[in-house]
Amino acid sequence: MCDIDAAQTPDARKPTNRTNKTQNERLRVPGKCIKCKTARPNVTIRKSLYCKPCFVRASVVKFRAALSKSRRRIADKTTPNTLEPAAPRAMVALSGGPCSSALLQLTLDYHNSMLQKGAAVQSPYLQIIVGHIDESALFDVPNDAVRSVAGDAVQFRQAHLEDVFAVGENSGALLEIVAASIAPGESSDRFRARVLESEHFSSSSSSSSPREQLHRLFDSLESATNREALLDAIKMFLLTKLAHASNCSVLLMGDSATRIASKIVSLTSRGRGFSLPLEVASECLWLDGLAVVRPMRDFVAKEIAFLNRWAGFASVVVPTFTTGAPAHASIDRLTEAFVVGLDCDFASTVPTVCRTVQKLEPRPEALAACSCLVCGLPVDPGSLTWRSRLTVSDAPSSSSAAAAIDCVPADHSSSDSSNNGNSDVAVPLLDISTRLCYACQSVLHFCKSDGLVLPAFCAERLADQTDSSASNNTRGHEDLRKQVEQFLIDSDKEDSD
Amino acid sequence: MEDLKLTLKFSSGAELMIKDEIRADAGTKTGDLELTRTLPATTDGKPTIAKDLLEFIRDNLIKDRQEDFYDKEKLRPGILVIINGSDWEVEDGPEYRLQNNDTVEFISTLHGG
Repeated sequence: MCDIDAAQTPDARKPTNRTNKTQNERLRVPGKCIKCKTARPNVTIRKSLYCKPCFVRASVVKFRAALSKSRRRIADKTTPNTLEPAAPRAMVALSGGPCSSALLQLTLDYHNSMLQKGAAVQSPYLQIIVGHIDESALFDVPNDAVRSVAGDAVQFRQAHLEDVFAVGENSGALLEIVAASIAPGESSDRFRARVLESEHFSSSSSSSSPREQLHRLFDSLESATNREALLDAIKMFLLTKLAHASNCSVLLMGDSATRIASKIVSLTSRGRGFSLPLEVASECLWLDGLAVVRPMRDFVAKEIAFLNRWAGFASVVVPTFTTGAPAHASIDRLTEAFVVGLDCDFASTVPTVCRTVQKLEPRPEALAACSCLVCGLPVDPGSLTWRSRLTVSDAPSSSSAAAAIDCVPADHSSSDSSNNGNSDVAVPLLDISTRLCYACQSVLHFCKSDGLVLPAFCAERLADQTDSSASNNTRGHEDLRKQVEQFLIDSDKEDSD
Repeated sequence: MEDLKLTLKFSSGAELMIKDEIRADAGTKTGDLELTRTLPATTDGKPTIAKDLLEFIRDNLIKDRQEDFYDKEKLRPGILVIINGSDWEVEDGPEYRLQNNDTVEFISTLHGG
């Protein structure tokens, strides 16, 4: 595509030349492209005029610079004493939308151009793999079109949203909220849950296909804001799983500057301030063994639209819960309208918000905190108390009774209450309230949480946390471990069965 | 004075704002939409400009919440306008004087269209 050798030659890196070049670049010829100063401009980005070829070339250079910077920063953090760290495998998260499509094509273009230069130059990544989450269970998504966006030259890995309820093969249990205590006078919300073993779950009358369970879960979340929040959590989990399964240690996300600026406002509004620095960072190392990178962070949505158009990058419309809906349909939609509207009147709104937030660092206690069962991000230890001070709770109709429940019969099922008295074995309930971040508590607070069956990864995370807690020998965690122990999968036992 | 024959294109989710019957007539219920419309060369005694086209689209093509698309001389934020392959902001924006056979494209940059 574009030749950026000129920008990368040793001469171009000399300070004197750079100074001259910068001064020359700053000279504007009225009505002409800011780069070549001769051609008639085709687009204006933040009051700067570009002709088509200069715009595409500048975009490619900007992307490569962002990717290289991210790679260096990750290497400095993960392998500080290595001069030339080995190139990792990278997964590009592809939804098929404009941002992720541009990300994929720009990454492949960079990768291939480095490969063509031979052994003298190392490609930033050993291999590029595409990771796609099929959302056809919830939306009418043109999956064939997404596949064609990726092309045939790259390995394509796909997971389905409903996979998070596929119990039995890789995961052995689901987590069901049996009793939610959301009542005035309570010191805080309480969510009591039980672990549903795969054998028990499949034999119960409530067994249904993963797709039906997914629909039931999203139907329980009454607002589009909560649905979007949970969908984000599920997609992030599946992408992480795909990346691990493909031996990728880098996950490239297509968040544009416009999207990041909008997310900053919406995540803060949804109570995700504690984990915000991790969710919008240029590079995030929170996930074990996986660096999440956002190399499109310097592109506003308008730049991506014109780049896709002029560079010939295909993309599709990826529907969401609020496609075609008015601005007040969800917090995400509202904040997007707010940020995009403000950016129209003040052209540097988006870059200013993004640059400011890039300076945010997660608090030390956030990095040491346990991860939320639902979203996988750190849990603020004081979130329960904080919530009780801020929230006006619902009417106490059923919650006072729910608060008293500490165990249920083994075959109790929310959708089949007639079985309640048929079992002699009582299953202890686990209080998962302290293992939910503030924002996920909010999601469960405002939904029909009694009988809500959470995806399998919630039970996996609970088992992992109790496993690691047991090794720390803390008294409270030991007790919890004992409670969960009977539900943990014993591989030897499974083999003998 | 001759009428202006214009090609209108809607893509990246902007086509979802157009009335279903118009999309059905164009033979594209899903995906990019291309329409041909004719506007008078003058509006209220003045040459027809892009602003007049936006009002025409709002009143004739948009299926609901027309004021969301264009209201008080302001196009909905997040919708890009491309006139003959160039950003309309380098072409005088809403004041651009439309020519016969112009192609005007609308692209949505909003998340989810």
